[in-house]
Amino acid sequence: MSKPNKLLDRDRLSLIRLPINTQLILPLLVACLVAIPVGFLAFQLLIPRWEIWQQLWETTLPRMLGNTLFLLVVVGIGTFTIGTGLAWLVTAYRFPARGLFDRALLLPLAIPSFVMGFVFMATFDFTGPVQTFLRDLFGRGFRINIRTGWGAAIVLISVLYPYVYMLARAAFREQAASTFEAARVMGYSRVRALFKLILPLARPSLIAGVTLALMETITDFATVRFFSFPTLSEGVVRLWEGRMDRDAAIEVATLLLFLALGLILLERSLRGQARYYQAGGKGRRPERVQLRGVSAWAAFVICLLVLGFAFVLPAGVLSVWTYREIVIGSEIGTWETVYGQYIFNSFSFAGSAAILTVLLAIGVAAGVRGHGTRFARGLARFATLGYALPGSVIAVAVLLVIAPIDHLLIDLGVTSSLILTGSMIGLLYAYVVRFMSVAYNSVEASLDKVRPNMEQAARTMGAGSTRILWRVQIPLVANGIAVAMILVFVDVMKELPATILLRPFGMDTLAVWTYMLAAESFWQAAALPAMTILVVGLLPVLILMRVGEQSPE
Amino acid sequence: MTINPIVLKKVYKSFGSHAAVNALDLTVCDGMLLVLLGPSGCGKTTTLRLIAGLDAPDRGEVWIDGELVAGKGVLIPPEKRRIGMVFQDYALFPHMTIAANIAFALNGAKNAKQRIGEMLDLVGLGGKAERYPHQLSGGEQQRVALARALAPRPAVVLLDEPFSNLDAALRKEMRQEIKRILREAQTTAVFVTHDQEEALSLADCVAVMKQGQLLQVGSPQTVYLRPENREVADFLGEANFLPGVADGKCVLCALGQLQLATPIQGDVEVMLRPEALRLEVDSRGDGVVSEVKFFGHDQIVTVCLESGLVVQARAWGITSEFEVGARVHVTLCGKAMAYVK
Amino acid sequence: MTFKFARLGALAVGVIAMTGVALTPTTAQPRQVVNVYSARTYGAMEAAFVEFTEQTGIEVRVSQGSSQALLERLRAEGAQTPADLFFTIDAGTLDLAAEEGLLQPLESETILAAVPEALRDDQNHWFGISQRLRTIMYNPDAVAEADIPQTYADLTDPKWNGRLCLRPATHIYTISLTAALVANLGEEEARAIVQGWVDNQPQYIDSDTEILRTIAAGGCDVGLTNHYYLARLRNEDPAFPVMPVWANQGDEDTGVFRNLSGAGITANAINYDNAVTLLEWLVTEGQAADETGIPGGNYEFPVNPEAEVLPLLTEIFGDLADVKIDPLPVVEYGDYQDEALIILEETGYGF
Repeated sequence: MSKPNKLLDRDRLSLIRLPINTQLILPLLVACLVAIPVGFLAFQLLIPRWEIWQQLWETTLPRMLGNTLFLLVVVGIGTFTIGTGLAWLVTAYRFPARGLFDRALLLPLAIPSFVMGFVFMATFDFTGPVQTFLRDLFGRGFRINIRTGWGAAIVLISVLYPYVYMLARAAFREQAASTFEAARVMGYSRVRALFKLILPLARPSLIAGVTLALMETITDFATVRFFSFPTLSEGVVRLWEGRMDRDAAIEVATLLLFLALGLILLERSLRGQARYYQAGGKGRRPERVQLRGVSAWAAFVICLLVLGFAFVLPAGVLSVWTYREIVIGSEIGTWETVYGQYIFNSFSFAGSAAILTVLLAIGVAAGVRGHGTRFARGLARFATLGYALPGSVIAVAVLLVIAPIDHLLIDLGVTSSLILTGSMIGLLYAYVVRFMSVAYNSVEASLDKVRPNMEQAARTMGAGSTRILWRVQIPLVANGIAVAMILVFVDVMKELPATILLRPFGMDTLAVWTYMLAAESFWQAAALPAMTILVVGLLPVLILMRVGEQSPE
Repeated sequence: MTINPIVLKKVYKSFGSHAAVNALDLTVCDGMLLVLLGPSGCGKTTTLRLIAGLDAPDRGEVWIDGELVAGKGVLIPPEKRRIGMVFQDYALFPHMTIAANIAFALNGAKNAKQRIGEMLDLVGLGGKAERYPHQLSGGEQQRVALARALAPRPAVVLLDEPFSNLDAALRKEMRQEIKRILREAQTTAVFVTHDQEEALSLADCVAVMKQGQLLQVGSPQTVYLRPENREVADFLGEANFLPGVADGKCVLCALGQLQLATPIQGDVEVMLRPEALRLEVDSRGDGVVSEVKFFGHDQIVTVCLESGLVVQARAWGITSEFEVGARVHVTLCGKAMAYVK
Repeated sequence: MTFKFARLGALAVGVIAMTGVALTPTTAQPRQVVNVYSARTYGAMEAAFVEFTEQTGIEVRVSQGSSQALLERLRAEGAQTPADLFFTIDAGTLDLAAEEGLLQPLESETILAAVPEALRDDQNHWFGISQRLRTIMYNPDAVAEADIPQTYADLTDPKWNGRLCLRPATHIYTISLTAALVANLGEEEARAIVQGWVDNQPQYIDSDTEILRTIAAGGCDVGLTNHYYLARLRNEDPAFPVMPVWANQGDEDTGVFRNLSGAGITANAINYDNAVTLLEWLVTEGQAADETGIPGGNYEFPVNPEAEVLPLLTEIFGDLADVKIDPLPVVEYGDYQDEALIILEETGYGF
């Protein structure tokens, strides 16, 4: 379309173009919704308050920074090694119970890191059954100090390795047999082919998996607190909640924000330029090599150990504690008085956040697809930025934006109470920002299934637009939307930092309740809500397992 | 005496109860381009994979370049066999440039850079070393796959239906190209295909396979013109089969007395290629045209003989004298093949 | 097919959210309520509140958080706070709240009669409800009679290097204890004591219960905890092998550090009458020595001198009347919190 034409036909064209522009209103709005608090926070770094930085630097900042980097490195290496190793084991070899492990190794995804943290603590700390047993064996002098960065890293690795495992497994499965065979005939042994070809080829997936794990690592604050291992995220909550030092918390949050953005950029650059899709795709899968004797049992034992430690142990320990709490008697107070209330709170937060986030995601995805320009895609990227930001940072950012509005409304006499910060609105806002990308990715993938020629085909078969909508378009999209809702629902149930900082009066959730009790070593009492979260959290993991199965065998 | 680069002796391979390769004997001479031809599922790809070492034979021996690589308790893994292979889907590594793909095959050899340049020149992709596979056309990807297979100067090159992902026009062009490249590289090659035209136009030697066994091995002319049995004749192009009685050098059938290429006795089936039958419009002819299929440069004319038998003859497309109902005279050019019933 | 249950799940999500939205307003206001911000671990599980509701019919709605967080919340919400009663585990925080005008004074005969002067604000902005003493705990198997530390300062002795368990600096217990040291001994001496602890490379464990269990198991030999954690563990296991010693009992010493669980009525309490009823109840019937009382439920000492003390407490700790308690008005702790924090940070105390 040439420019002069545009000018000449302005009036007519504006009529035609109007619907196209309205398509972008929602994406624009959501992108702003996300961008404003984050931008506000980023802006804080442009006007740093040196006296605060100086004080932080002289006291706690170097440790928080050092600890955070330590965790990023150790968890990065750990999740990469375990996730990739297990994925290769179950895709390339046959050994006892391989089929079971293939899926079961995803189960630890259902366990929030802070739950794993307190179970690990209760089991392996100095006073826990394991060390007590070892002391009986080796004498009272025996001790292993788990309240260190390594302890926290082990816990984080054990719940986060499935991100790498899941993506690595999918990547290995996609690789055609001929790729591997081509390397073999070129003189590469199985092991060399793995390192020279299979891993580099899977690099984008592996990096994406490790990045997901690292995002979760920097957002965690409860686990590291159990281990007395202060990090930046823990610092934000500690300074805000514990020290009441909002200014310092904001400064640390900005630092964390830039660390998170740095991670994204690092991921982008590590992915490189090469487009890694396999030609054909109809190729056979590589034959799994049958392991025999010692190696078969070694593979079995490795899988069993990982699964046992990362899932069976916490699930088992929580079950026992939950049973004791309910049947034998409550550890403290009376859980009956609050359990229903907290489940209700958790579910209504999670449910409303799921519906709101998915609705917005549908709006954004549909708008972006309809518009189809680079600008629109850029907006979508912006709107889904929140996945990379720690919950505590988002909470701080959201408060920075809405608290002044709240007070302004009161000063103007519009409202008589804090309608934004004092209600679910602030928290929902933070959830939407944080989990938009989870919903968006799922919704967008399902919208991709609706192709224009399907509609045309349906029309040639005499279907009206209503019938097309209900019989063709909605059924195609429904699964994606359902999955998006469940993912957001469960993520909200597990979310801790933003919930702690923003929950409205009297509206504690299962996650908050678990954390409060576990922080005071009321492990048995904490098990009941933790178990509830775990059971709900299994839902999306089961979906993931089934999705994995659908890929061609 | 030169060593035969590939020798298979009584090789068996079965998958479950299905015998994919059954007592196969095969020898490929130095510098030869052998085409393994057969319908899908005949065991030709399995044979290729047994040579490559991607599958292990149940019984029998595989020799490459005078060395036993499988059999008698020996099983050399594929990476030690000095072979090059071109896969059906090319198996180019999508995350590497063209040059890196070839370098991968050279595996750190000396003068790798120079060799990559040579190979790219050989396949006519000199300027595209730094491209990624997805930036190339199908034919170009094909050439890269070949260059990659040839780069380390393997003892033999194996090609597994390499043209099946190309469209017809490109396929014809690539056929000549591959033949040229293999010739220039002076490599022994085994090429698997189910396309008989492809096989005949490419091969120095064609090996026709069916149900895990070799039916015939020979030059393209031999297997086409002198197929040893009815199955080979049937698979390679079109053929008419007429009952007849042979007495050594001659056979008597519906077309009269015909000369035989190979002597045979008794009740036989006579195999006649359509293009070997010549038609003449003749009001006293012994057949009537019942159908004409026109293809442009030629046409297939179906003729109903007086005896009630039907034969098909190929005629050039330039004549339109064969109309349905026309009476024609059918004669044979050259000699016929006949097989015992 | 595969996703059938996914859709079902999503449907459930929708139903839950809608009932959530539908129910929230209808469950509001018809009954008598009082809203409490509570820093006590029990939160809404506090059995005393259940008892109170049973006796009076007034529903207690609890929002739980750390003392600091709740104070911050009160500040942010200002006059709009939904809270009627601010219930914390730290007198310093109450004092800060009072100073900032977040609490209102209350002249209640019942309360003034029940709570001794030393355990309430001099302007009656807040009142103590139970007493908690933070003192020294040790393992009698690992510590010889002569070595038992007698003062907080004794723990700076190098012989405790690697044998000391402390609560991290993030916790209000640590902050308040340090503030008390500053108030009693001055900034310099308090800093020297904290530095002495830090130099002994203590283990920082963010749970008093875990500190006691660690001492019992031999993970460290001495530590500082609130008294009632020991009583709780002794209640489970009468042979629990940790002994208490009241700190700073010497003639020259200031006495063991006491903190309070206490509460005050917020400046703009909406349910003012109910809040008063609750507060009065808490310092009278609520002082019961079983789980229906605030001190009884948690093995704390009551503030009301007429209230019964749990026999278990007397058995473990002796008579509270014989204990020398830091006379410093609890009020003052709040004033030194900032200095305490600076000391903790600058000495490298764990967090």
